[in-house]
Amino acid sequence: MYICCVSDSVMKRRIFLKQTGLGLASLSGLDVVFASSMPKGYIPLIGLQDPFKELNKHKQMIVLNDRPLNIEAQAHLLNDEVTPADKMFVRNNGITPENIDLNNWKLVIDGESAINVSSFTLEELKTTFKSYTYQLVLECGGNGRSEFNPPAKGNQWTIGAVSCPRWTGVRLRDVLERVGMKEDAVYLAYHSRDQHLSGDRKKEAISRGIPISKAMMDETLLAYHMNEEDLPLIHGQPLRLVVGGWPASASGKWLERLSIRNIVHDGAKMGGQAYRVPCETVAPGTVVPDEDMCIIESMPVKSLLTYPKSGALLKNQKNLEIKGHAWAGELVVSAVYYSIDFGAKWHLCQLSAPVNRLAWQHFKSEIQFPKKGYYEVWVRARDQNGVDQPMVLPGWNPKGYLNNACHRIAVKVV
Amino acid sequence: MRGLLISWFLQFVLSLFLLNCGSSKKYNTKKGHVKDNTMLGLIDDEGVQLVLQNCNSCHSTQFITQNRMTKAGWKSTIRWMQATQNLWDLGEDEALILTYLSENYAPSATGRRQSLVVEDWYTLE
Repeated sequence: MYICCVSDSVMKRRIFLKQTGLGLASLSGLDVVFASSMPKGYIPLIGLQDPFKELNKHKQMIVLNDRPLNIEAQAHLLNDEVTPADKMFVRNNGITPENIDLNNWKLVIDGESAINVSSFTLEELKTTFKSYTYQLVLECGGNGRSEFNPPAKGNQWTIGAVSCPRWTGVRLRDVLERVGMKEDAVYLAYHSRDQHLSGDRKKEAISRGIPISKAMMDETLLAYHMNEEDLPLIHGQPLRLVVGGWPASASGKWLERLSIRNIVHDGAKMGGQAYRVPCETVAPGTVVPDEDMCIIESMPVKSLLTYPKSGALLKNQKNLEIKGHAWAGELVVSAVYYSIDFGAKWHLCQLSAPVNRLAWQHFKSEIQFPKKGYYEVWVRARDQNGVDQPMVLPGWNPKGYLNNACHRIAVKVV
Repeated sequence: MRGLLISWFLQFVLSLFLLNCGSSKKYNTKKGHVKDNTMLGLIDDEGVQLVLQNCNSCHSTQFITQNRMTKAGWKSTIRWMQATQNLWDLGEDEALILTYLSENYAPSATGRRQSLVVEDWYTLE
């Protein structure tokens, strides 16, 4: 049971409040504002005996925030070609649902532009539509936010909010075609079961979506398996959207309802400053009005050195094998380069083709260091249009999205 | 009398929970999140209790300790939470809360890219 500690400085004594299954109690005259709307039965991660065991996360994963739950990987944990579930980042906007009744679960599809409002059980989805498996990159739009200066508000992701597991499910397109879409359909929106942090049932924690053109792509899935296993609860059980190459907030978890909209979806975290960047670039620190912000779509070209872990000491050797992954949103990565002299000279790495569209690609190389000393290995990917990753933080934006500055690790030859 | 007994009983029960409350975290958190028993990781300074009462009921204190903002930035965040996240009017406490946040969680002048920090150098075999 999680214990919430609150002190009343006016009364000069500490009063501890216990969060019960009935919500926060009012004790000794200290009322907790909105206690009645505290989520019932909610046990934050901080109160779990062993959060990593309960979530099946690798013990080196980093918890950025325990309410809402936000956990990132470290670069060296992401060395696998297919990201295992225990090394996949967690980005929650609200509270993880509990007690999902899988037997009575249904996905409702409605909206102004739906021809036949429909619902499907998980079994009906699996038996009615053909299943597909793709390896798809999910990266949080705010991955890299910690490098922003002036700082950007939000969870301070470093480099670990990216993963590329293998997803199995049905094509969203097949389901939408079965339901039927009116000609005025422009956006596909999701509604999920996670609860708003305030406990207010009338509020959604997050309800985003994608343009119909992205919804109709082969790789856009309604996924029920991750790496050949049922979706773990924390990653969206029993069904989630997987929208490869776009900010992972488009890949709604714990789906309950999809709406075919005749407007750009106006749900929680679609408007304002959320998952949007200035339509025109701005100087660092600029306050940008909501109406001048544009929705993020494809993520930019990026790469990550996953081997070795930063901080490697090379003793009696000057050779080093490096490995990692590169991805480019909707695009293919055409080349990856490394530098050991702070970007003065770049050397081509070996690069694999993606196993399918929107999967990350793997690079490797063998470095020979000329002499003893401190080095930084930098990697830089180039997309199919010839666009490179920048060496420093690109386009400052108020909420700290889209930092694709090249990744660096430290190495000493001693 | 009855009220006093209840009060004593509650203090006893709650002191048991206090033992739990301070149990060390078994997971990794970001640097700068101070581990202690009562402030839930917040820096102990005037106003910290108001921050705990008003902020921690909806979200983790880690949302505060991760972030760095000017007074104007913290104020705009409070306004955003009031407009969209059901945060209540902070009344006369707001000034102290803003002072606490902007003094303890202020942006620092940093360059465009910082030096790499290696916590543990290790021998690569």
